[in-house]
Amino acid sequence: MKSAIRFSTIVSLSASVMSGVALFLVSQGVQQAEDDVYRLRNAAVFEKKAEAVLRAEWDYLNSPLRLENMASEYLGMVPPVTEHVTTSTSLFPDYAAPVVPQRRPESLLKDAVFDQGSIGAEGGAAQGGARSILSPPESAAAPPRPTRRPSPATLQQGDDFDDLLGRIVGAQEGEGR
Amino acid sequence: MSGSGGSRSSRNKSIRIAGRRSEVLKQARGRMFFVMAGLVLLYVLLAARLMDLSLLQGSLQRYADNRMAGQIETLPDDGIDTVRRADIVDRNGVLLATTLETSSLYADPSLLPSVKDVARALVQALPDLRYGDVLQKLQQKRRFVWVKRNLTPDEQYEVLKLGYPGLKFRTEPRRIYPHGSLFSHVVGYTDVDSKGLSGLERSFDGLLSQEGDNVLVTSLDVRIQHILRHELQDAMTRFEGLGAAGIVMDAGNGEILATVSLPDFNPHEPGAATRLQHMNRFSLGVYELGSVLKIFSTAAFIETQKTAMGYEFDARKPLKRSRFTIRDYHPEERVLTLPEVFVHSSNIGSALMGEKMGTETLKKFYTDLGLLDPAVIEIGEVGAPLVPSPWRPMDTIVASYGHSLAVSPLQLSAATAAVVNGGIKVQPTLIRERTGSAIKMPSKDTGLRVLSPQTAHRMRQLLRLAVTDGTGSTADVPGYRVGGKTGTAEKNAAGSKGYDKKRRISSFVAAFPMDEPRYVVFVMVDEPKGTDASYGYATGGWVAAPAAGRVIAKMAPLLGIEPVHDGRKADMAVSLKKYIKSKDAVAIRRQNASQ
Repeated sequence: MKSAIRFSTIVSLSASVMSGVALFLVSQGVQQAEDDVYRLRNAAVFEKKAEAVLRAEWDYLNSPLRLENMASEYLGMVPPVTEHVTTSTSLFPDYAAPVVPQRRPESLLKDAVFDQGSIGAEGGAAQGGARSILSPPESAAAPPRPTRRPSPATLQQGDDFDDLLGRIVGAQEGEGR
Repeated sequence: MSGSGGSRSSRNKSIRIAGRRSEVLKQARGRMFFVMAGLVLLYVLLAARLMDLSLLQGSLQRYADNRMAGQIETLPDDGIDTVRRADIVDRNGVLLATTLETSSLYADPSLLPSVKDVARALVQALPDLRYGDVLQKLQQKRRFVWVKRNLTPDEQYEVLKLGYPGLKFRTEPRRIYPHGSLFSHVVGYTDVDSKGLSGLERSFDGLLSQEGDNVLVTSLDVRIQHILRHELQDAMTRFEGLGAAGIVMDAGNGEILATVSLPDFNPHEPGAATRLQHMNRFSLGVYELGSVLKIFSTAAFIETQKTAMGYEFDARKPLKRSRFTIRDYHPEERVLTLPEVFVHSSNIGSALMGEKMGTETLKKFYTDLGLLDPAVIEIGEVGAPLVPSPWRPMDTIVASYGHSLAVSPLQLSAATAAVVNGGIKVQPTLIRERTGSAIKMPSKDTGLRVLSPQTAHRMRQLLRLAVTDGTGSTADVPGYRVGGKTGTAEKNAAGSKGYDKKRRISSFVAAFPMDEPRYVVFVMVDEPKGTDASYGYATGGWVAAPAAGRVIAKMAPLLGIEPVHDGRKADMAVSLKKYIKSKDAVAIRRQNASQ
C-alpha cells in the first residue's frame, strides 16, 4: 500500500522537533546563566567576608599601643612635646628648590682675547700677550664671592634628625617663641 | 496466467477504495498521524527533561567557587549573606567592633570510628580541651554534639588534618573587638548569640542587628582613648590606686572623644572579669569629688551675687557651723579675695559663698548644670547622683566645697564644659554628629544658657589662674594655656558616719586652650597612696593634675591644636594676678602686723 505523507505533515513534524530542540537549548542556557549568577553571588559574599577579616586585621595591627611599641623599639621615636610642634614650614629646608652651585663659572666671554695664531694650531696654546679663553686673566682680581649665612635648618653632612631638631628649637628660642 | 506475470501482478495488486470512503479514510489517516506526532513530541520532551534533570542538574550539592583549600561551606540557597551584626567605628572610621565568620566544631558520634582515639586526637589538636569532657560528649547517643565553638583558622586546620568524617564544622558569626580592652566599658560586649549585653552594644542592639550596611559611628577617637588609658594606668600604677577614670570631651558640643574606666577587662572573655573590672567608673560610679565642684559654686556666686573679684572672705579661722568645723587643707589664715579662695582651694571661702547664696540659688544652679539628675547618654550604665534629701542649709555649705553631693565624672565633665564654653549647657554624647541626630539621646535642655558670657569668661580666668599660680600647676603645658581645678576628697568611712582620712579620691578637671576652650579633660584616681617622689602626698595636684597635663601634651598635636608661645603677658589670667598676694607679700604683711 502506498502511503501518502503530505508536505504539511513533514513541516509539522519538523517544527515540533525543532521547537523541542530550541526549548532544550534555551533551558540549558538559562541553567548555565543561573549557575553563573549563583557562583558570582557566592564569590561576592566570600570576598565581602574576606574584606571584613582583612579590615579587622588591619585595625588590629594598627592599634595605637602596637604602633607605639614598634615605633619606640625600631625607630626610637618618642611622643612629641610642644617644642616639637610648629605650623611654620619656613624652618625646614626646601628640597624642591633649585640647586645653586656655589662657584659660578667665570664669564667665558669676559676679557677674552682671541689668538688668531693659535686657533687651529695644535694644543691651542696661548702665545705672546694673548690669553686662552679658558684661563682667567692673571692681573684681574677675583670678584668677591657672596657668603651664605648658614640657615639653622640646613642639613649638613652627617646630620641626623636630632641635630636638625636641635637647631630648630634653638632658632625658636632665639626668636623668643 | 503465467507464474512470473502472475506474481508481479499479485505484488502490484492492492486494494483500492474509491469514492467517498476513500476521502474519509484519508482524513482519518491524517488525524491519526497528527496524534501520533503529538505523542512523539511529548515523549521527546519528557526524555529531554529527564536527561536534563538526572544528568545535568542532578541532586548534587553545589560547591561555591572558593579558593580556601580544605574549607567547604554550605551556602544559603539563595546565595544572599545572612544578617550580619553591624560594625561600630570611631570618629575616623577605625573599627571598634565587627563581626567575623568563625568555624565551630561539632561531632556526629555515630560516624566516628573509635571515640577514645578521636578524643585523644582532638585534645592533642586543641590543647585547651580536656580529655574527659571530650570523651563524655562523644559518647552521647546524639547526631550533633558541640565540641568547641569559634575556632581560629589554625585550629580548624589541625582538626581537618585528623581526617575523621564525623568531625564537622558550622560557620557562626563572632563579635570581634580589634582593640581588646581599650573600649571594654563604653563599647561593651555581646553574648554567644550576638546579643548586646552592655555599653553601646546593648543600647543599639536593635540598630546593629538590622539588615543592611549599617555602621554605628561613635564620637570616640582611638588615639585619644589610648593616650588617656595609658596615662590613667600609669598614674594608677605609680600611686597604687584602686581604680581610675577619665574623660575627654568636646566643650562645644559634648562629644566624648575618650572615656576610660580602670581596671578594665577583655570583652572577648567578659565572664572571666571580676566585679571590680566590670565597674564603669566614668558614668555609673558616683563620687564626692571634692574641690572640683568649687568651679560651680564659684560660678554661681559670681553669676548671682554680681560681686567684684576683690570681694573678700574671712578665712583666718576655721568656720564653725552647727556641730561642724570647716577647715582648709592648706590654711592661709588670712582674709582671702575671691580669686585667692579659688586658687588656694579654700573650703572656708567656698562655704561662705554657699552660705551667702542660699540653698535655693545653689540648688537651681546645680540643677541647670545637670548635677542633680542622672546624666543622659547613649549607654545604659548611668548612675544617679546622691543628693542630700532633705537638703538642709548645712548641705548647701558643704556642697559648696564639694562634699555632701556625689556625682559621676560624666556629669562633672559636662558641667565643666558648660562653664568654659561660654555658659551653654552641652549634652554629652557618644555618637558622632554626622551620623544623624535621630539616634542621639534627645534632651530639652541642650543649648540652655546656664551662665552669662561674662561669668564664663571670669571662670576661665580663674581656672587658668589655678594652674599658673595655684594647686594645678603640674598640669600646665607650655603653649596650650591649660586651665583647671584640683580635687582631693576623703571617702566615706565604711560602716560609720564621717570620712576616712586615709582613703581619698584625687581628681583634676582641665580645659584648654583657655582663651577659647575646645576640650575638657577629667582625670580621677581612686584611693591613691603617696610615694617618695610625691613627698607622701596623694592629692589632686600630685596625682591627677600631672596625668591630665600629659594627656593634653600628647593629644593636642594629634588634634592639630597649635601651641602659642607668646609669653605670660598675653595670658588671660594676668588681669587677676593683682588679687593674688604672693607668699612674700603675705609674710611681710604678717610681720608688719605683729610689730
